[in-house]
This record gives sequence, structure tokens and C-alpha cells, in this order.
Amino acid sequence: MKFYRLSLVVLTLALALFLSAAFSAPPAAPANPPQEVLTVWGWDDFLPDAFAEYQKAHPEITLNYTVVEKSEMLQRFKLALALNQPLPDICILESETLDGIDGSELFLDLEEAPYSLPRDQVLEFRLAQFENAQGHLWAVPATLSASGIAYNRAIAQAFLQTEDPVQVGIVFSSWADVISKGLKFRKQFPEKAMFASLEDAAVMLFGQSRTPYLQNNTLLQPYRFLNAFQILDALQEAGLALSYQQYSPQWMNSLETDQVFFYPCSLWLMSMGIFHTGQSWGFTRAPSGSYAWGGTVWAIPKTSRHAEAAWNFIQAVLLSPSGAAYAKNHGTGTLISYSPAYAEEGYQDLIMEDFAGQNIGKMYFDQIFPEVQTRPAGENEALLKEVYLQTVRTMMGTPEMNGEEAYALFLQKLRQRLPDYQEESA
Amino acid sequence: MRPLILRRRLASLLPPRLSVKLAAALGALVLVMTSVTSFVSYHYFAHILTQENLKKDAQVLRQNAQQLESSVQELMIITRNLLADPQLQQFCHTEDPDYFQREEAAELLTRYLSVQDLLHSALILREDQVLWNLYPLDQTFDALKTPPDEIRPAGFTEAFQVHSGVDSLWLAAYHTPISDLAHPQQKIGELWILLDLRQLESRIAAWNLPQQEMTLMQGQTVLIPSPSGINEQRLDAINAISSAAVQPVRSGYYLTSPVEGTPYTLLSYRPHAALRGRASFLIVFFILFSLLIFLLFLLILSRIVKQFTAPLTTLTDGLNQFASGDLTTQIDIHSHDELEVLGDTFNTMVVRIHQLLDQAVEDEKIRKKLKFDMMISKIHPHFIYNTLNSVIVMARRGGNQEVVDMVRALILILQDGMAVHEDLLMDTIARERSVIEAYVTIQNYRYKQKFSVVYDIEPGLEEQLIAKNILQPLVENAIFHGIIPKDGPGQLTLSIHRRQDQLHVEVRDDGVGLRPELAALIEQGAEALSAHRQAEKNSVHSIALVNVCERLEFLYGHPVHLKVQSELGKGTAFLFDLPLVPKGGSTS
Repeated sequence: MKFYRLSLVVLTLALALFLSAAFSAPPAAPANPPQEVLTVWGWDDFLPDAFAEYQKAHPEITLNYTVVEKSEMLQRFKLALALNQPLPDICILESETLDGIDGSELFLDLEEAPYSLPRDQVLEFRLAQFENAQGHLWAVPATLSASGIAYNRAIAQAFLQTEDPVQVGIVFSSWADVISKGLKFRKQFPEKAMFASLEDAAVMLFGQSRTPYLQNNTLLQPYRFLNAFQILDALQEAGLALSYQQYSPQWMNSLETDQVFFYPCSLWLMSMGIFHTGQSWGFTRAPSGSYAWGGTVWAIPKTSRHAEAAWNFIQAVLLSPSGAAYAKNHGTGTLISYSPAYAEEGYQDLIMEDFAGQNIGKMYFDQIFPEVQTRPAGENEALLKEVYLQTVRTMMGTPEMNGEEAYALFLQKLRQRLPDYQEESA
Repeated sequence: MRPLILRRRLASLLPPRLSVKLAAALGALVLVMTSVTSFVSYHYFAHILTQENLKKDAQVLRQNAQQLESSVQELMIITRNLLADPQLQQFCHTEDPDYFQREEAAELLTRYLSVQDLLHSALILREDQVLWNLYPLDQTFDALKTPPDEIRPAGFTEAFQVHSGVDSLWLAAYHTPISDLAHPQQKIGELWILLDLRQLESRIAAWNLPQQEMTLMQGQTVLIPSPSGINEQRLDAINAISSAAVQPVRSGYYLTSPVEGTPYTLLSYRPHAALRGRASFLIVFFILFSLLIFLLFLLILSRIVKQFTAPLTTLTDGLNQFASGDLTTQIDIHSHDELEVLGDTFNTMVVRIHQLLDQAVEDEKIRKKLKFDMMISKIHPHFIYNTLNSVIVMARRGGNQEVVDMVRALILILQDGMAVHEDLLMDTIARERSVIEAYVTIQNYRYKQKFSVVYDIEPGLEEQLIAKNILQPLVENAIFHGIIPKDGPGQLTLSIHRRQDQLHVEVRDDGVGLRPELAALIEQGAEALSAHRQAEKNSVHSIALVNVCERLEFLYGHPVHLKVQSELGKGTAFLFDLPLVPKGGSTS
């Protein structure tokens, strides 16, 4: 009897508990619980791939990554500002395309608390461009802008009987050497060219200047452009440059052939993997020295609602040993601007298979990086470069245009864009 | 036959108790009913949930398609504005535009397209050249040069890839003729708005949920597949991507939502399991619920059934008890139903059977007594007594004293026989001795000097009762079957001694003895002796022995065993032990 009563009570209780649990069960958790979403615009895979790694330890954060072509990024950014549309939580900006953008007004002071960016941990030579009125950085350099030149080893071997980077750099140590040797090259290899695009030489020339271009609305040393256009004209006249537009499909496809000898090259370009084409490449200093080309910075808008999450991510990727290691192992590998990483033995070594196992890092830090000197920030430099490259493309589209005509066109276009600018007298 | 065998086998597994069978049967019924109800309920709820989820998912798909439609509308607006733009018109009209004009046209296109993520770039197709706004100098699309008469109506192209070094561009295009605004029927070029399918893919990917992925179809071709491929696995199950929003397939449904104004359709496969969602929890719920209810019901039911079938158990136990011989069995049932009636009837039946049995025993006793009376009446008719008295008178008149003594002895014997006839079944040993002495007196006259009788009766036993007409027949048998056939005189000894609480009686003669088989028959009892009596043709002597045996059985029951010791030529002894019955007692 006792057992019966006990069993009855136990079963009744069990049924009551079961029904209670079944009917009071909380609603199923939504498939995607609310997460903090970081919005970023970019043009390559580095950031989304880095985020995928980062998310493993931070599953509460997700990434909304929009692909915006490199060439359209600035315009997209300016349009968003103009239309008062939300900016991405991490703005990836090219170092050279900050015209009209008052970074100190738009972006957070990263040297202030709670961010406290340690300035001495940043390895870049143009930090002045990213300083606010207090002299604090509002952006973190991501990719290094000091650049050299990539050359096709097969062509080098055929033309110079050497493919050694140092030797090649010595042979083509100046633009005059490029032109003079180029004529011989053209004769020897009529189907080949020194450059896939006149823009390639143009960006090198543009970035080799040590002084600002525009200051106080005055075009300083305007003859620099005349000189540049003359060199470009000579290259075009000698048939040393093809007429591909830089980064166009034709330009990109030319990397897969042994048609072109030289390409402008920086660490960030290598990390895009565009040299993984089956050709064997070498990396050396550019004619007349290293130049500043590209390079990006990451900044956090003041209007961002996820500033803390964005900063944490930036720190992890750009300002940490793990971030430095990740960058070195991502894709073909690249070196970031985190200076403490370079104190570690072997960090500078960056061996690339596409470059025949050349230690790119050694070349970069032995020759390329030291040659690039700090060039103070100029005014409207992006606009100036845009006009400059437009003029170069005009030269490409109008083969009969010479250097002087190109220079005149350049000044004309510049006047259209900056009606009040003045030219420094000689 | 097989169901029957199976049922018997199943039944044999249960203990042979009605309560268990009842509880099992009812419990099984509850389990079956609960299971059927659960099954029906689950499917009903699952169906409802499926329909609701389908509706919800179709709405979500429609909303996503509407977002795409919104982008397409923007595209159309941009296209219309571009087509109407004078700069574009001018470019199309310009013969052999130089690079500046190409660049200006490219800038125009770039300005219009920069507002929309999905719009990658644009092409102006002319008969002599193709202008790509991204790279005005690039000749990648030169193959698309189109003469005016080959310009197609507006529409969307198939997806295509543009190889660009290690990467490639994945694009589709919306193309529309550029009409001369001054002469609208004249086509002056074709405008291609290139759609960035990678952007579209990432936008659709942002809409995907773990169990709800989307595929973008262009006609019947998969343009942007679902990340896991789930949508594409069963596409062959549907005949065509139709306008039907919901298309059932074997294991789920296909939801489709066309993107109006385009050849694109958003498609999502929803498996039954995902649509049922938490309904699958109901399976576990119903199983556990059915099990708990079944156990609870079984527990309660077992007690109720036990209460109802307890009277049956009581009845069964009573029957078993009665069958084992307890004729006083009575059962007590107060269930206020047919079982109580059954119990009462059982009790009545037991009492009645008991009564009938008692009656039968009585009847048997009476029957035996009557038979005994018949036996007595056969040996001692009443009229003989009167006639013998007349003989005494006549013998006295004739001065024949021996006749008088003999007849008086005979009368004594007859009087003793009458006492038996009057229900005197027991008499004192002294009285029985006197009967025997009277009998011997008579026989002595008949057989002079042939035998002598020794009375060895223990003093103090004279008043003990003994069954009447037991000793005399044995003495008679000893005389006639033992001594008379013998040459010479013989002696007969009648011994009665007390042995513990019994009378030990011996009737011994030194006559001719009995055949061993006859001695054995006598020892077997009245039945065996009666059968032998038939063979010996009902002789008086046989009657006497049978009577002795029957009388002993009747009065004392079976425990009285008549033993015979006999040796041919030496003599015979009849021995038996009787219970001590003092005067005033009985043999029962």
C-alpha cells in the first residue's frame, strides 16, 4: 500500500512537472541572436579574412563587408559624407586620397583615452598626414606605402643576363637608364614593353618627390610635372609602355604573360596576389629611388556606434604581434606597420614564392624603405594626383601628345579643378 | 489461427489473474488511444506550424525580392536619366571621340553609378568602339561593338566573367538601346549597366539564415547558389521555376519570389523538418506524456480493478477450500453486485451440500439398519417363539425334561434375537454368554459328548457392552465347521480379555481348521465373504459369517478387523478387538 501511494504521488508529480516544463518552456532562441555588426568598405580580402579569424574569439561581433573598388572608394566615401549617410565603422583610406577630408574632424583621436594608440609602435613615414590639431593620430597605418619595382626575371635574364635584384636595380638606377636601355630592349624584344601602362611609370614619378606639391594653394616646383611628362612622353615615344590602363583587366592579364618587364610594386600590391601568375618575379628599387605609392590607413568615424569593437579589432590586426604574424602568413604575406614586430628576429624576412624565393622583406627594409623620405603633407594631393593621372591617360589615349602638351593640359585641368591656385615661380 | 496462437501466447505471459488481465487490457487500450490521439494531434499541429512557417518564410522571401526590386528600380531610374543626359547623347553622336570626350563620358557614367553598390560600371556600345567608364582605355569589351541595326531591346544578359589577372569580375548586365532624343526611333548606341554579382551575392548572403538560404535564379539557371547547396539539391524535383509562390516537393517546399522587372527569381527550399520547427519537440512531448499517463492510469486502474476483482479471488479461494474437503467453507463478499449474490449462493450451496451429505450418511445408516433388520427378521421370525412355548407345555405334560430344557434354551435364544429386532444392537458380555450357553445346551443335546466350551472371560468385564449376535455365530461356526467334522470330541474356548482400552475376543476351536483361502476371505471382510457366499450357494453358515462381518463393520466401522488363525487339522481361531463400551455407552 505504501509503495502504491508513493508510486502514485511520484508519477503524478512527474506528470505535473513535465507539463509545467513543457508549457512554460522559453521560446526558442532566435537562429541569429543580436550581434554587434561592424560595417566596413574595402576592396581586398585581407580585412574580411582577418575578421574571420578574429571572430573565432569574438563570436558576438559580425562583419558587414561591402566590396568597393579601390578606384571608387574615395568618391563613395565623399558621397556618403555629402548625403549624410552612415560611414563604415572602419574607414579604409588610401594615404594619398585624403583631400577634402578633414580627418581630425571626422575620425576619433586614437591617441586619447580609451584608445591610447602608442605612436612609437607605428612604422610609417608620413604620420603627419594623419594628425589632428593636437598632433594626435586619427588613423592607424595599415599597409606600408614605400614602394619599389617588380621585374620579370625571365626578361631580365634574357636582356641583362642576370636576374639578381641588386644588379637589376643598378642597371636601371635612373629614368634616363630606363629610357636608354629601353631603346635597346625594344630593339631586342620588339613584342615586349618595359611597362604595361604609362600610369605605372607615372605613379612612380609622382611618388618620388620629396617635397609637397601644393602648399598654400601654390603649386610648388611645377617643373617637376614637366619633367615627369617628358619622361613619360619619352617612354611612350620609344614604345616602352603599352597603353593598358592601370588595374584594368588588360593590365592585370598582362601579368600572366612575359610581355612586360616592369610593374610598380609595393608590399600591399604583392599581398593582393596579382603576381601569382606563373611568371617568376624579382623585386628591386625603382629607377631614381623608392617612391610612396598607396598605403592605407584605418580610421574610426566619430559617428560610429561600434567604436570600441572597431578599435579592438584594429588593435588585434594592426597593433599586435598576432596581427603581425597573421599579416605575414595571409596569402602571399605582407608586413604591417607595427614596429615592435620588427624587433623580433626573422620578422622582416618575407620569402615569396612568386618572387623566386626572394627575401622581399630584406630588400624592402635594406633598400626600399630607407630611401623613402618623409614628405610633408601637401594640399589637395589626391586631386592633384587625379589630374596628373588623367593627363597621363590622355597621353595614352592621344599618342601624338608630347610632354609639354601634356604639361600644359595638366595645368589646364588643374586650373579647372583649382581655379585659385598659383604656380610657384621658378 | 496464427492470431489465436499469438493471443494465447501473449495471454500466457501474464499471471493467471483476472485483475492483471483487466488492467493490462485497459492499460493497452489507454495506451493505444493516447498514441492515436498524440499522433493525430502531432500531425495536426505540425501541419498548422508548417503552413504558418511557410507563410512567414514566403513573406520574408518576398521582402527580400522587393529589396532587389527596389535596387532594380533605382537602376531603371539611373538608366533613364543617363539615356536622357545630353552629355551621353552628345558622346553617342560624336564620330570618333577623342580621349577627352571618352573620359568625360566615362566620368558621366561614374557619377551616375556611384550611388548604387550593385552597379559595378557601365558600357556605352557604339558601332566603332566600346567605352567602359572604369577604364576608358581598356579594350576588354571591344568585342561588344554593335551596329545600330543589331541593337537589341532592353533586357538582362546572362552572367559572365571578365578575366582580370589572378582574379575575375563576375558580372551581369542590363542593356538598353540609346535612342536619339531628337529622333527617338533612331538607335545610336547601347547602354550596358554592369551589375556586380559579387555584391549581389554578399547582399543575398546577408539575408541567409541557418535553415533558410536563398538562391537567385535566372530563368531555370542557378545564378547565385545557396551557401550549403541545399536549395539546388532538389531542383530537378520541380518541373520549372514557376510563378507559384509555393511548390511542394517530396521532402519539403520550394518558395519562389520573382524579382519584378528582371529575369531573376529568389528561391528557397524549406524542408519539412525545418518548417515543423519546434513541432518535432511535440513527438518527445507526446511520447513522454503518453508514457506517464499510461503508467499513472495503470497504477490507478490496478487498484480499482483489484477492488472489483477481489470478490472473485475470495470466491476462487472459497471454491478451492471447498474442493480440498472443507465442507464448512463459507465466504464473505459484500460488493453489492452479482459477485455478492454469487458468494451468497455459494454459501447456500455449501450448506445444502453438507446437509445432503449428512442426509446421505443417515440414509445409508438407515439402509444398513433396515438390511440388518431384514437379516434379523430372516433368522428369528416371531411366530417361532409362540410355537416353542407350546412345545414346552407339551413336553412338560409328557415328562420330557430334556425337551423342556432344550426348548427353554431355544426360547432364550429367540428372545435375544427379538431384542436385536427391537433395536438392541449391544448387550452385556454376561448376557451374550447366557445366549451362547443356551445355544450350547441345545447343541449338546444334538451332539452328545462331542464338544465342550470353555469360557475364559476376564472378571470385571461382564457389564461391558458388546455387539449382539457376534459371539454366537462364531461359536456356531466353530462347532459346525470346526469340531463336528473332526473325528472325536473337541474343545471350544471363548476368551474375552481387556487389552488397554479394547476388548480382545477370541473364539478358538481345535477342529479341522479352515482352508487358507477361506481364512483370507474372512479376513478381507464382508464384501469378499459375500461374494464367496454366492459361490457356496447361500449356506446358513456362510450367511452367519457375512452377518458377523457386516455387523462388526456397521457397529464398529472398519477399524474392527476380524482375524482368522487356522491350520488344517489343528483348529481355527477368530480373533478381533473391539472398543471398550461400558454399559450405557455406544460404539459411535
